[in-house]
Amino acid sequence: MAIKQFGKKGIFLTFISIAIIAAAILIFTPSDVNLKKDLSVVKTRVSNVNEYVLDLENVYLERTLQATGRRTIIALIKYMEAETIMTGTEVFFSDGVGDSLYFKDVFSQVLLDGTIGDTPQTLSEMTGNTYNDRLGEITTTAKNAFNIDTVYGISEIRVSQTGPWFVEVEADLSFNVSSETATWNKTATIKTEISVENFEDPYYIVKSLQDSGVKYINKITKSDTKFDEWDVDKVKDFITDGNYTHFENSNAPNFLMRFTNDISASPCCGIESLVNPNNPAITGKDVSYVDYKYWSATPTCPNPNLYTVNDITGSFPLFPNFKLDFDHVVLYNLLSDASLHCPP
Amino acid sequence: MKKRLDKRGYFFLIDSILALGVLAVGAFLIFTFYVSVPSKEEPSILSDDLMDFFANNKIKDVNNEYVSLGGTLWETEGQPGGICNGEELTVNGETTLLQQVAIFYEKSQGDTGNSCYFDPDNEDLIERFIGSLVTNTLPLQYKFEFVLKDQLLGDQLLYPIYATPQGQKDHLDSKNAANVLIPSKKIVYGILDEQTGDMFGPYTAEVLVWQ
Repeated sequence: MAIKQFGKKGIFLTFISIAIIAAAILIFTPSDVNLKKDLSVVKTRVSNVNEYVLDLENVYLERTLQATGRRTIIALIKYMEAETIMTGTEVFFSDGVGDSLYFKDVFSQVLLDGTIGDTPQTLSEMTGNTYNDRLGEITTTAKNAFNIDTVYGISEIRVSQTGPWFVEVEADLSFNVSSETATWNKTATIKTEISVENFEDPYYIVKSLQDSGVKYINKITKSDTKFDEWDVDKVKDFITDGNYTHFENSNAPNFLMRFTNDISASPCCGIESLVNPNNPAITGKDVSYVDYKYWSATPTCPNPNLYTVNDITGSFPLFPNFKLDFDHVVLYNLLSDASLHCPP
Repeated sequence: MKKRLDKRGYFFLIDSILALGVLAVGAFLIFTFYVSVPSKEEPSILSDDLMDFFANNKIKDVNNEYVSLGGTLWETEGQPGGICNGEELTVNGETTLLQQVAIFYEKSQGDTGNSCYFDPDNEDLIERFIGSLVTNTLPLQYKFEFVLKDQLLGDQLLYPIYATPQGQKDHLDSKNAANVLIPSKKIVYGILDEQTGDMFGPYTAEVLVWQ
């Protein structure tokens, strides 16, 4: 009887001690191990996708807009050249809202789709290089790399001249990035600046083809000469090199206006060059050889206040028939070397 | 009778303490087992750090005799005796190190590509570029690989044990046997030619670090 009672108590006490230890183990250890088991892996995945979203907004979309914007401008210049040659008449874009070739609409269409006009004409320069194409490549790469889906919605593309040497392109867009662990929804305006340097001047190309049938290529290169440093030698180099300069409150058109044959003044952003009389596309005329005046002025003397310049006007290697209007004689600091040509 | 019962109580108490000891030893062994699980944090941090170094630093910001602006890479590698003899090696200080790797890769591709930039079977410029930047940066017990567009960049120079077939096998075996292998990934993308708007990528770049 006594032995039986002894056995029951032993079992009871043993169970109590086991229960206490088990409770202690359950409270202090297993939950900690389970919760943190895959934390670093999940953290790495979310971190990778988050960095992708940041890169997308701050780097990929901006750089892509810059590259495709630059290609779009090249494609538009090639289009103007090809159409001018094909039709035999000068082809510029329109600056009238609602026109079929309204420049800002055309720019947006070419950048996004690579086509131009109401009856879409594909531009070869944009094949595989539109903004949509490039964003599609990023989407595919992100899907393969991170197993995430990216969806874009582009509502508007804008282009404007923000300075003499830069064009700004803006894109209003939204994007959704979703992975198995998180989702990002963002709306952003992506801005990029494109330098106008090294583009062929579309105004030169179209006007020279129309005027003489010979293409005059002048790439935009910024002159190093400051407004108060001009003299005869620097003007000669300026003509030979085909460089461009900007004068404050100038009467020259800016780069984008050269796509629409708009030669009115752009006080903030106008740039100008001097037409080189030695180029095969140039014929001697009694007009100012400032680029935006050369093809627009009526070439008859007497045009008022037209000047030749000593040591610049002359047979090759100087510049035959070179003339400037009075305003530019003053701007280029050539007054002491200038002689009145028209009226005689 | 009561006294005997108290003695039994002590016995049971000692018995329970012994049981407690057995369980405590068991718990200790279990904890020790958990502690010995390889840390996922360290390789992950190392791969992230290595990737961030390449992705966030521009060439103009790096102080390295080979890679920096005016470094020997740009001065000599395109000259006779250099690994890319005859190639025009131009540098843009604003380019990140990761973008530069991708630019070299892009220049090795296509019909006009030059294998001096990237050659899976021989030493190439990418290998020298990465090697000059990462040599001696990782603790010895760690191994790493740099992968771009699913292609392993560099072999003998970056991973010296690749110099022998056995070394190559050991490298791959250690990778396959690694308990933790967390890659740090980034998409690398940029402008190849500012004038024409040509772009390179997008490519997936991965850095893998394991113990």
